[in-house]
Amino acid sequence: MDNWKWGSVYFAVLGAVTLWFGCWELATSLGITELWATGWLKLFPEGMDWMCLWRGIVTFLAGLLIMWGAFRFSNVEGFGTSLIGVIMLWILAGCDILKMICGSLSGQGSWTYSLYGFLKYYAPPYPTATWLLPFSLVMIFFIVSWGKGNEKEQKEQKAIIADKESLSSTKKEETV
Amino acid sequence: MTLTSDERWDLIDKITRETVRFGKYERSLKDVVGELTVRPSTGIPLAIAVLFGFFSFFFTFGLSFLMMLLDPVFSRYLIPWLKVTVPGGGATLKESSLLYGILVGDPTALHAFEYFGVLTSGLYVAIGVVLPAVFAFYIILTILEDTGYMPRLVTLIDTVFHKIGLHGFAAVPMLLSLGCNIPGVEATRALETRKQRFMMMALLGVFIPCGAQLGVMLAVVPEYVGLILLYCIVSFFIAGFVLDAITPGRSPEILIDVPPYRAPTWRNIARKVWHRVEGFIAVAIPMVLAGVLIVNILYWVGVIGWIGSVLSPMFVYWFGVPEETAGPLVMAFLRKDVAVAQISAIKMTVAQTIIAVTLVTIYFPCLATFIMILKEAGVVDLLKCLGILIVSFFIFGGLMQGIVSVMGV
Repeated sequence: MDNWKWGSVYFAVLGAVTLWFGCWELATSLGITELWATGWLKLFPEGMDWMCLWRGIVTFLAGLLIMWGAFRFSNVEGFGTSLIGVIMLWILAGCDILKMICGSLSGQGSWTYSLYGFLKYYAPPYPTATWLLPFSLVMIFFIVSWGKGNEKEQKEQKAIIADKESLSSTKKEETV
Repeated sequence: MTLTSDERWDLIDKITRETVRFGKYERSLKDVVGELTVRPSTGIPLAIAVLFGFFSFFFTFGLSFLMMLLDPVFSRYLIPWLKVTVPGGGATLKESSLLYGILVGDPTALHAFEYFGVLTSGLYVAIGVVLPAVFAFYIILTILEDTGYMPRLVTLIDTVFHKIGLHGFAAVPMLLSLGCNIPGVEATRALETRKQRFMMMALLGVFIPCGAQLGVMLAVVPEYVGLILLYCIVSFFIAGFVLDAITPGRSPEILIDVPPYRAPTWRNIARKVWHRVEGFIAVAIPMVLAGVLIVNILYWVGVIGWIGSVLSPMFVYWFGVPEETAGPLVMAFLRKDVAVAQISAIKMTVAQTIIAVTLVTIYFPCLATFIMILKEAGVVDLLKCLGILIVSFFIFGGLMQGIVSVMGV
């Protein structure tokens, strides 16, 4: 199996997991199931209820797009669709990480800092998107591979065009 | 020498053969992602995520992080220093002098929000709340503009805005107004016709809360900000639909140039953000301070108490809020954010607080925006906006009371 087939399987699984988390977040924020958290994973970062629903919608749609794109991963449109889903996950995870950094640096409005106060913001449990972030970074490998493949194709094309041009100029010279 | 038509075409062919290179064009990944972000099936989910990121950054960085960093400047240093430095301070506001009351405010207040003095609450709201919110807002807006995502967002929501006689570019003044209504009104110049500009100004002024106001709303009723925003958006489109039907004029189609995605340069972002924040500091901060000063004087003279007693039947029976909210509503004409802060100091039920905050949101824009509309649209359109405000205020304010009582908040 080449890299692109592996990628297709990998992102189909990642999409399914993300979709499952999204359904769970939606169900929780709509009050269908109770909030669930362990020592390592929690569904939402602390914050406003209405942002949790919004977050659930984003996770759900991200999972859907990653999975949808994964089924035709070697095609540029399929790959692009998965990439958009992954970018959505990165946005969520980026927001979570920013929240940790801002929380640890703010001093909670008192300008008094302690090592424990600083580090506690980086301790688990983490929201779903933060857990999914490292797995989604595999996408960078495929973006780079795609770029390299494109570069190679362009070089080949340029070489063909250059060959044709040199051939036609030789013919012109011969005619003259 | 004149050429025949055939000779001209032959010449064109010859030049084309010598100058144009033909090759196989393949869409790059960047092209495809660019196309997918304007296609509804993939573009709308991304837009939902981008707007989530937008507001999350705004709340986390602007309203939580920067506000917390700045809070001790006021609560620990400036306000205690003012309390001992300004002469005429007493145990309560009634025992204090007029100068102390205007500059420092209520000496029994526990938080900078509750003093209502020009140099205490006035400076705190202007620099401690409004400035971080506006700064964070402009950073993220500039990044979206410079990456090339904004034109794509405009394209995506074009269809929705067409339903109310506007087009996708209406998103630009709408988003800018979430930072501050003044640049929002200025940005209506991007719209084609006078009808569209007038509609957008009226809708912005009534239904779009500014960044400062969002910040204070978040401090006063954090768990209901989503409900109030949703209500404002729905009201925006209902009012827009009605306005489109009754306002004479054209709503033409537009062509949008969608540039390719680019990595933004941080130098450009820094310049643009500074330019916008500078403009905000020059216009809005003096307005906040002047607003607090005028309201304090009106309060001391007894005008606010009089307005409250005159308007109390309407506030109590139509909107279901206490008569004391009349004062903040007068204040809302000068600065909406200060008005929301004042509302937080009035004892109300949760339902009354939600209604009062919604009323301030859909109340007429602050004085600075009012002046801006006058400058951009003229006296006639400003008076029309005033009419729309009064009608919207009664309809949507009364409706909110009904919604809140149905929800059983």
